Amino acid sequence: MDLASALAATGSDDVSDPSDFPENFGDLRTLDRTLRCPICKDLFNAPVLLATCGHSFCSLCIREALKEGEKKECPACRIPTQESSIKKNIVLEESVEAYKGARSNVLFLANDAVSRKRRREESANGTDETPRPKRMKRQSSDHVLQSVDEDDERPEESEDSEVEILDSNALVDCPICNHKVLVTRINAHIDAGCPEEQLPSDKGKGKVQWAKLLAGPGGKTGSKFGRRGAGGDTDRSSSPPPRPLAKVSYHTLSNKQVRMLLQTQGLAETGDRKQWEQRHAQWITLYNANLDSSKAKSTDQLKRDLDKWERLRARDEKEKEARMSRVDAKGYEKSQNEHFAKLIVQARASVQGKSNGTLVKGEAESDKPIEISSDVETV
Amino acid sequence: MLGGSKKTQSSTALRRLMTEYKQLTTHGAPDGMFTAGPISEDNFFEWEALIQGPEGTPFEGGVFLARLTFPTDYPLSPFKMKFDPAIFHPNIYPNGEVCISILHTPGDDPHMYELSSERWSPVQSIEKVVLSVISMLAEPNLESGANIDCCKLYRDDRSEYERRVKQMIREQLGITE
Repeated sequence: MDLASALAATGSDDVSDPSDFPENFGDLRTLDRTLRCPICKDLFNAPVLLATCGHSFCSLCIREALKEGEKKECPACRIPTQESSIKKNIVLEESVEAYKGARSNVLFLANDAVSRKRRREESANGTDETPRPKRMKRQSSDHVLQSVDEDDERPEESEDSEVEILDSNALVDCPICNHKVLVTRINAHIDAGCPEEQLPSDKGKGKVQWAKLLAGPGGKTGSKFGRRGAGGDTDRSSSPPPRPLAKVSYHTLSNKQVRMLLQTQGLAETGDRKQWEQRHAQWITLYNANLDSSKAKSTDQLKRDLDKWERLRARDEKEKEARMSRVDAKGYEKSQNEHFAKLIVQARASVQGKSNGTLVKGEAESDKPIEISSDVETV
Repeated sequence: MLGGSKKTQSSTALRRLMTEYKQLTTHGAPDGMFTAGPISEDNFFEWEALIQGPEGTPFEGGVFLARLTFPTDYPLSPFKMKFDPAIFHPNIYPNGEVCISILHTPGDDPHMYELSSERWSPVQSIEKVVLSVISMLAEPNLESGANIDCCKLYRDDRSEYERRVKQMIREQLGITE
């Protein structure tokens, strides 16, 4: 309950976790856990494995982790490694994509099984009177053996039909970006961080139907997402696959050269030198991580991701600072209370001295501005 | 401007913190040894943890409050942990800050004694760190003392050390004889 309100407050109720599954489905929890990146604890996004040890991470997560530390080592087992050991993990990506689609259904079935069991237990305990007449009725008809189960299935059937309606091509509002998204795509959409290429009402619906038709029964997982990176795909088929961008050691470069780097990648040149370097380094990370994804994003989409990264980082930083300074201000006020009082007395005395010498305006009036000014001086 | 605005997106750090919070609230800590969560739910970068003193140690019966401060690039960088009020323990600075290798990045090693295998890594979590701290309460590491007086006392006069710890717990709980 606590958590729900917290998540509502932050506007993202999409945080999924192995404990979403009921306790007695331990194997499902394990399955869910194994399909998560140990760094971000989300379902794998463009998973890669380290050829040096075999551990898997999201491409972006491991690239950022390797960028951060001085020692390049696997975060899980600490075996030394380097970025060149990052290899695509194609089967894992396919499994995760399949799982993302199936997760909500599996979750529904598991929760349903639990509630059904509970209902059965409830009806077994105590409430003997109400279900009995029903059973008697049924026994007279031909569902003799199933009667008890049917009791329980009835209400659930109506739930089922509701879900079926949603299961088709229904559009739902994404809880994060508020855009309409296909209900079957919502999990993948949220996991991908709300990509903006969505289906604008009817047009999109048609496209999806076509995509579905083309994918056919048992279509590959890739085809479902092919539409998204359509632009990039055609580019790629005509030219050789894009190569990863090389890392740059910025401290040997002049300001002008760093600007040139930004220009050649078509990135913004706002901010100071430090921001340029961070922006360029993050761009390389995002770009290279994107190459590991089978549903590669377009350059524009990547640039939007970069903007988002910068914006969110700045926001977190700012909020943190604001909070720190707020806490500090309170503590400072308390600890320096005596000092403040002294200063106020001093200031009053000096102003009184002045006003005595010159104009004798109302002293009550002079009180206010003095207090304010002394606060400004000290804080 | 700050707290009131509804956030519609969340950074990696925030998502990870929310996931850990969710896990700790639904699963709970092993054996209920501690609880942890954000102090205020509109700031996920400041947490509070309530830790039970491990049984069979002088810290048994105590309840300790610690403040966890997260960097914006969490989990790439570790968080900071500070007991408030401070605890009398060889590995806790007199100001309450915890000195434990799992909260140090492989890069910084002021004392050159820690194995990098015990250091922070992004696959660590709040739960693992707090559990390490609990085991540190039970078994101080004298090689990396943070409170030198306490280290000496622990080494030279164990019974006096235990008496001081118990006294501290009683004071913190407001029990005076």
